[in-house]
Amino acid sequence: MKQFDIVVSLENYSINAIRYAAYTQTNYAWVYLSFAEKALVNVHFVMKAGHDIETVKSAFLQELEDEKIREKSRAVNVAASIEIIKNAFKNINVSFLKEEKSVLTKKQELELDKLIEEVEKELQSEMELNKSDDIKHITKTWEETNGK
Amino acid sequence: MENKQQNKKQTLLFQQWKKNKDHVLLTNDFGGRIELSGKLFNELCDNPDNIPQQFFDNGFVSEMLDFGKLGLSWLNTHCNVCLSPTLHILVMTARCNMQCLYCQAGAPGRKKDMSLDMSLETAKKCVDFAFKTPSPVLNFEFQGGEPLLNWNVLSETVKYIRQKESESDKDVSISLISNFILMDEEKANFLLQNEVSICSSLDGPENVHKKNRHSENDISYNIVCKWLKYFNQKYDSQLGKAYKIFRPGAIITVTKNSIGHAKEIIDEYVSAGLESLYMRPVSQIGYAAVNWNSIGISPAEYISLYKEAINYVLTLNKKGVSIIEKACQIFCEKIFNVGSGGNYDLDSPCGAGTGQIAYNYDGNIYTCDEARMLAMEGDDLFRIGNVNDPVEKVLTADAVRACKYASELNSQPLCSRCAYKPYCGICPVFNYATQGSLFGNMATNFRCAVNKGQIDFIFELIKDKENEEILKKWIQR
Ligand code: SF4
Ligand code: SF4
Repeated sequence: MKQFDIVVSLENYSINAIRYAAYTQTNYAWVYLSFAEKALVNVHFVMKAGHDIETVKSAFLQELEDEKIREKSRAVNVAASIEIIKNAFKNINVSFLKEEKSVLTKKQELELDKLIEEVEKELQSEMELNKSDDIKHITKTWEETNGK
Repeated sequence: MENKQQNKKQTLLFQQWKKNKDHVLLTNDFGGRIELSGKLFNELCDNPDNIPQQFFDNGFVSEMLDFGKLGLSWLNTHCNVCLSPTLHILVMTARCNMQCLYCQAGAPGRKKDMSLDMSLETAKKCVDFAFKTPSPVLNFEFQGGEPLLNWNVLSETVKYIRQKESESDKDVSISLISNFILMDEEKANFLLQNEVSICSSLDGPENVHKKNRHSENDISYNIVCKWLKYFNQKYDSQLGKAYKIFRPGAIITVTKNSIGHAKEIIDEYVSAGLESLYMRPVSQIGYAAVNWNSIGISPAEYISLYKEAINYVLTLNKKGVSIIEKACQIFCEKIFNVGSGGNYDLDSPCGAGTGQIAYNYDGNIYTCDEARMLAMEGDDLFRIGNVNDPVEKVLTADAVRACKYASELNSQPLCSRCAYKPYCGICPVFNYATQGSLFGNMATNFRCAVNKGQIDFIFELIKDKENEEILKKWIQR
């Protein structure tokens, strides 16, 4: 069985990027990850029949680069996506959901209402506290900061 | 054009793309799709200071996002998450009078065991259950085995549905999937008068159909053609009737036996008077897994046949022949219209338990028909309840939640970075049956390879303006 190794530095790529890039090649090879030494990861490929080492090697390295690009904006992208989806839900007619009988018991419903009330109160008081020195605009929604 | 926001700190929201030779297809979950050169892609990634306006307009930059518009696009493509099932599949019987090589219904060889029939009492409970669900739209689909083997219950259930419909404000449609072997004039008239739409299986010309679909004395092909013609004639002559008649439909299961017959398959559909065909590859589950050596097809073989078929359909369209292919239509709807395409298997998350549910002959309820088929082989993993259970308990069952999570493409490592994510969907039941987990592994997944091949091909096709115009017309139908 054809095999080869690529050593990747954690100074250049995150462990998640390495893990993902390795996963993308699992149609062509069995891939094993291990720590080589401090800050180095050894990626060991055992080729599956009918596939070419050079193609897998370059695809793996390309995936690492691509993942680096994604990582630059992943956190912002997730925040934006959540905000957009929240906005989408505002447009849904949920009347039929309200008509549905709740799956919670009366007691559980009361507990949930109480919990929601407590969390809302806590959030409110935190926001009051932060309003005066809100340099980073954390009291504003994503939409208020980034919308048109 | 430079954007007025360029001095502000901007983040490019690039997460999913596909690189082809010298150009890059970039998409997002909110309807954004841009094709750009590899050079521009690299320049933007290195230095996001001079961003062209279209990247702002399509939601690819963290500033100036139009939350309302983007949210609406997301909703259009994810509407099944907010629904309760519209498609209610009733398995009238698990018996069948045919023995198809790819049967997933667990029916072959079970012709005489009447305990596999749904009773009228259970059928009525299924209908009551469906009417209790919140959806304002209900589509009842009679399936099997072969549903006509349980005709008395089927016809009584149709009457019951129509009666319940008249007492409710739901919008109801009924369809029947049948091999037609037991169809006769009396049944046909009843179905037409009750506005039941009809669908059958036609795998292509006689030699191909016969190899896949075994029936006593090999009568299946002639019978299917006869009844498709009959229902087509009824459709064409419906003027003045008090009820609406639907054009009959048919589906093809593409197997090894279809290879080399792409054009003949299309010709067969055209000559049967059908205006659409749906070319689904055989799935390696159920009886098909047992017969995989004689009928199995690889994704590459399927895609090659699919390309030949679509090219031929487009050639016919250019000559004025009216015919479309359903999978291609669904993908085009998603690409051009940012819509859902109306196929729960290509939604993210899929429609298991939210878009559809399936009632087995014994009253047990499953997330979908594929899940019910798996149960016929003894695996009840996707059972979500029974017709006697409360609706809210069934619709929020663990298996429904698990399917949502596993088929949400953002929870899949490869899909979440794939440019085709907005157009694609994965199937937890298929993953479980073929790869041993609801999540599967898309790097080696049959359906991923097929979907990827189909979407690749559509993007190839629409480089040609004339093709693009024709495909856009398909989605207006
Ligand atoms: S299933 Fe395959 S083609 Fe579809 S989104 Fe996932 S990776 Fe892309
Ligand atoms: S689990 Fe599979 S067959 Fe069932 S609804 Fe989802 S995609 Fe469709």
